[in-house]
Amino acid sequence: MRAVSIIGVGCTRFGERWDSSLRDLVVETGIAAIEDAGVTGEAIDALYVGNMSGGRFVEQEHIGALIADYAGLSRLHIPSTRVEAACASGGLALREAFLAVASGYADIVIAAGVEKMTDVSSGVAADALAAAADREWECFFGATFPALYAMIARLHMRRYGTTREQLAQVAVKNHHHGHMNPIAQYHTEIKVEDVVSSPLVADPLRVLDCSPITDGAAAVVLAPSDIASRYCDTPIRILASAQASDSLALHDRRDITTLDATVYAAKKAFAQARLTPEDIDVAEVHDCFTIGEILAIEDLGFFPKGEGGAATEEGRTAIGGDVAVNTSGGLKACGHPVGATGIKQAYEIVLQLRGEAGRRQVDDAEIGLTHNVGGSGGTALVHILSR
Amino acid sequence: MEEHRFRGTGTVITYTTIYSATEDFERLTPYNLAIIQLDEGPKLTGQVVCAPENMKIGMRVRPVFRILGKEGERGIIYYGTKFAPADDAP
Repeated sequence: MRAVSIIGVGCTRFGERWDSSLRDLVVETGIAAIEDAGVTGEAIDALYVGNMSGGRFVEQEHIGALIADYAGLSRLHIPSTRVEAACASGGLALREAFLAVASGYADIVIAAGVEKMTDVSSGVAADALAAAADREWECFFGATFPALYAMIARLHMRRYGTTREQLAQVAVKNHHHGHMNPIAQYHTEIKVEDVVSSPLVADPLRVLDCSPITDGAAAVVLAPSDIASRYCDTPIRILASAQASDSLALHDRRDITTLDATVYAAKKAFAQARLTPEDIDVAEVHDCFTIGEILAIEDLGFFPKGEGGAATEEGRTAIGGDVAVNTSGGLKACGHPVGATGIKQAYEIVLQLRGEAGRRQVDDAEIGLTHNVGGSGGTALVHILSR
Repeated sequence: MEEHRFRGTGTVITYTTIYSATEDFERLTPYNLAIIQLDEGPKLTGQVVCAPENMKIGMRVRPVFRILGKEGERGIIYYGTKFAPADDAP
């Protein structure tokens, strides 16, 4: 296996992008990433794109060929592959691109992610997203995504004493981080009272516990580390790439308040990188709901099981805390275009490690982590990046 | 493979009340959804038909046969199992 580095990154503004189609978003981000890397189309060996549900959201499948075409690469006949793992599609695209370069099969590879979600009504979007759960054993009986995470939250609160206010602190922190991120969907700061008085979605989760419906795309360019400095002054090494699976249905898990897929992916990633959770300076984790971030910071090993809520309340996951979590604003405030999220996480960590994160810069950030979850925990991906 | 018929009684492990649903279930809101551990051991997800304020972790439930969904006014009707409180269930 060869060492792999990220030599260029791009990300669109996230939000309700009614001015742009799915293909427009990919072109916008692809051009930004290629220009950042300083590569030409002829140098690109392969493309991987994460996309959860182009078919449901914009009635467009065959996204691989589409993005190669609209990136102006169709005449070069570069292999272009769409990968899907629900909300972890972006993280999986990054891993597939990493494997292509690490194996020696390809040199310059682009990993992209895109989702265009606001062209359908919220009911249709909710049903498309519910397809990440078990259609026969969960959705058929009326399960929604917020409902699955709400059931995790209720048991976590019962078992560990996690409070309603601690859940709200995740959203408050991520909105604070997001208001310093120019590409974020929301630039509004919120208070705990705003979260706990927002409308109920699935008790105990409320509107301001949930990540929004978002349009957006992101892309990163990968190269073998030994030639990365030809393209880029500050290549960012991918020290680890790990993936794990678990039962699709929440009720079949060993423990409903632990995402074992996260636990296993994190263990593999830390072993590959020869690091421990204490070494991580900055992390982008999968806060599709506020409880999701509390699970993540426990299951990744930053805090003991059951102490994620208290750690959040004490500010230990804010910029300046033990580990800065979701400096982009996370899925909550930066937005969650599902197929793009895993790539946007890598984009944010690369900015942090290059020292280009502006007002939300974490001082002396050297090692960062991304954590991307599919469904309620059927898939998890963990990547560790280093300056 | 041997077919096994569960008694259908069980205990609520965790639950939620859904206020915002997918289009097929919007007419039912608010409705309760729970993860139920059947007395024989396996767990599943199902609706519990009772007032939201009567839901509790650890409550006993029994199966009831109900309409789960309809494909419009003249389409197929889906039937299946929901659960009801059963404090008297052994």
